[in-house]
Amino acid sequence: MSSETQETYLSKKGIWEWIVSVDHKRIGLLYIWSILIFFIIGGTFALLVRTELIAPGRTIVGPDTYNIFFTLHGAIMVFIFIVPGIVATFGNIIMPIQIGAADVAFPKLNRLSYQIYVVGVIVILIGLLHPIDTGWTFYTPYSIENDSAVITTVFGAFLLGFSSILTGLNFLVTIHKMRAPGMTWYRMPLFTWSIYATSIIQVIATPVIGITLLLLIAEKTLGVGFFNPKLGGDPVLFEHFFWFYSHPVVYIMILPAMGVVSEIIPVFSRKPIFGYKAIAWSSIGIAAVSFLVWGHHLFVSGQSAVVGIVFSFLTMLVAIPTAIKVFNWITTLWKGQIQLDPPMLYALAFVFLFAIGGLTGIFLASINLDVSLHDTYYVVAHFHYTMQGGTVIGLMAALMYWFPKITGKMYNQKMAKVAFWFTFIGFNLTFIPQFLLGLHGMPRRYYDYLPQFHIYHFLSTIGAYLLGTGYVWALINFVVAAFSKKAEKAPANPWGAETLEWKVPSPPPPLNFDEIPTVTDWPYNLGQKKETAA
Amino acid sequence: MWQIMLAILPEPASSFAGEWDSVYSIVSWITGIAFLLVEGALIYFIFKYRRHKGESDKETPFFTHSTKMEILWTAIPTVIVIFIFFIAAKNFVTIRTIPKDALEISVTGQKWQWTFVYPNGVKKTTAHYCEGDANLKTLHDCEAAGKKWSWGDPLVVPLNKNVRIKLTSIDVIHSFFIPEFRVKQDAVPGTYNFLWFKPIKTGTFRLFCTEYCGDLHSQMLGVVKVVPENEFNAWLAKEASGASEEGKELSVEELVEKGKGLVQKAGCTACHAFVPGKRIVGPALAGIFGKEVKLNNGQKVMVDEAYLMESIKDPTAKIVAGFPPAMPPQNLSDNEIKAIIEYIKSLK
Ligand code: HEC
Ligand SMILES: [Cu+2]
Ligand SMILES: [Cu+2]
Repeated sequence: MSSETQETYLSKKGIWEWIVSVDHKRIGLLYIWSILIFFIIGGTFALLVRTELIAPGRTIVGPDTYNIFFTLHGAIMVFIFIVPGIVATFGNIIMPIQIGAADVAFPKLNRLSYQIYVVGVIVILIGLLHPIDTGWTFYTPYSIENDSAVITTVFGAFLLGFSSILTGLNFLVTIHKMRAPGMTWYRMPLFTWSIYATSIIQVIATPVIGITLLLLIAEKTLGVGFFNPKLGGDPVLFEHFFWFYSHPVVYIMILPAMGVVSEIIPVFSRKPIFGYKAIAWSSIGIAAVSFLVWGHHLFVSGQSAVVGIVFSFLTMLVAIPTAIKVFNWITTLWKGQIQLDPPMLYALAFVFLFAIGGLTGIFLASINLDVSLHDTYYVVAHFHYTMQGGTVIGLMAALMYWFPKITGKMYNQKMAKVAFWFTFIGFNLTFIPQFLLGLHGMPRRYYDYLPQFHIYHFLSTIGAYLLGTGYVWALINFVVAAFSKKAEKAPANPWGAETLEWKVPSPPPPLNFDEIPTVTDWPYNLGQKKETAA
Repeated sequence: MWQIMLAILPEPASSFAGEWDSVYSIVSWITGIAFLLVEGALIYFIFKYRRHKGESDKETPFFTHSTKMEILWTAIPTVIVIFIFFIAAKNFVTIRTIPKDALEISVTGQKWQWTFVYPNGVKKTTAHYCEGDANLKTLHDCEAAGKKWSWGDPLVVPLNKNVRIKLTSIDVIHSFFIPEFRVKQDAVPGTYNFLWFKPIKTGTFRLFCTEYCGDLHSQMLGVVKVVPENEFNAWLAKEASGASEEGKELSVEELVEKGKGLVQKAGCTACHAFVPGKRIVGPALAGIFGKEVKLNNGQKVMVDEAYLMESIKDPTAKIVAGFPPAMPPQNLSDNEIKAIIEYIKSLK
């Protein structure tokens, strides 16, 4: 049997082969393993936080430990898990194949990105010897006066940023220079478009956080007064620097997820994507506006009222490209033939949840409302709807969709659907009560709370357990399929998609294509019954 | 019907809270309708166009763009968000425009309490302790033990008068939030921020710290008490005469008693045990007077009044060996510190 003998990118065995490999698919797979392990760890911290909050007063730990829990939950989820989230994983494995390339433009640089990522993670793990309690935002002067491992953790985050910049650069050059003949910009799959927009942000915004974190380290070690008022510094300056990066970074997280969904919805509706150009350009539009809205985190910091109003206006504008994307996805469903396989379930859940995240964002962009809602649970619920309901659900959709391509196996689809419902119901049960808490005035990052908030916290914690069950279930299902000898073999194109990664065998050969393809059309001619039409 | 959206909010109790609520309610209706339309269409399409079991491939329309629709669904959200932006900004301008005739109260945040200073010098501080058992650290655990929890002194403000809060912090950033008044502003060290409100309802409300500030961030609460103006003036005058009494000589017993109250109110009990030998964040403060203590630079000093005064006034001046320099600067008068010292002396 030829398919048995054909060499795939997974053929070479042994740890050393993984360490030295510059194959984009291997590197991407290493990223997948890394981020999923840290997703479990970060999720465990979330469940510890939720368990402490199930009842008022002391439940399992004291306030100092609780503060460490929520800090580690945030820091691990943001820096180690969700920033590399979809870009470094599926951006690496899928994007080059989608544009008909044999690899990324700079394969060795790509390996270096992963190595820096690993070093960054190790540095952060060393910091756990004396875990930080500053919150993942490291606000000054709290982080300056703090004697936990702030320097170590911040340095780790700095390294992860470096890794992210190199990946972004690599992808930008790859998309510009490595497209197959005939792959014009408007024939590029939307996932690749989203990776392109994301890379722009990575390259432009990440250096700012790098410098900020270095300034913080300099202040802590050398006593140079940038942010500490006792040394003549300005603590709010840190907030500006921090959010100048950390707002755009939320689009580093969400844009690739939007790209994933833009691939899945047409395939499972058996219909071309609606508004291709609008989706492509709204990604670029979102990337551009994302640099101009950081001040919405500082409405009550002492920032002048006029500046606040300008930021409020610019933030409102983000709603427009976002809404356009949602309309396009929904219109793609119209008159389609919708097949609710696991990837589609997650993609549709993405649209549903992300819409809620977007609509509640309008409340927060309304500057007077934000005065009250800022730093309450309302914000916590809002960004979990976008970051988890959006990005993590998008990542799950991507895993469900590309798993057969990457491993050559098919997972148990029934199990995947059961896991989905746990996740979906658990997610809403966790975060809807948090919106109500925020409206009631419950501040975030609180170890303890007033008795009137109890019922909401209780429901939220129960939801979190369901949610955790859903994710663990789905991930175990993957691991079983990946390693069991009995798992069903996946064909080259199980979902009937048109993008190039489905034209190569599952799993793909080391150089992807026997011969670089020539592209003659966009990849969304779906459901036109081409084969029988003639 | 209009009111439904407002039921979950804290009751509006300041002059601009009503407008805040109308903006909230308008935004709720707009986004609520958008929610129903978007999610409704999503769910409806999923059910309507769903592929049934055994159904064969169907030909679907090649429908890839529609300039008319796309312009429409770009224009409508644009108009809507700009409208929302305007009504929100209008209320925000009111919230941030401080009337000239306001009564000014200086508010200082510190780990983990608020201090309020009135124009005539009356000073009040919030606290968080279980009366009768310093080991019970949360309201819930205290009440569960059948004891009474205290949030310390309330922030007393007059009804229907403009109040301006001059806000700062002496350590890290805190944030001053009164949900019923719809106000929040960060207390930033090294600078002053201002906010104002005009209470329109008597009663007690809650003051929260909303910027994460460390271990007892969730205990940095206070009570806000709105009273009619004449009652407020009488209260303030009475407190002022009480404050001048502070200078008067107290007996040692009275001082010890005062000091005992102060260490709870000022939050010392969060980090210090007042029984010998027990370590919390800082060293136990009982049984130390008159003994030698080892500092982190290897020196030894005698614990006397001067040393205690310095340790409390300027915590970083001398650091006890084996402890982190974690003690925040304190916002106490010399008289108050003297009372605390008497209390420490009394603990053998
Ligand atoms: C955030 C925790 C914290 C709080 C609150 C705090 N302290 Fe401390 N305190 C410490 C630590 C840690 C040390 C030891 C390091 C040092 O010497 O600064 C210390 C040291 C001291 C010492 C010197 C003790 C010795 O054995 O020499 C005194 C006296 C003292 N504190 C009094 C107070 C008083 C009075 C208050 C309340 C007004 C207070 N502290 C509030 C943490 C705290
Ligand atoms: Cu932001
Ligand atoms: Cu606080």
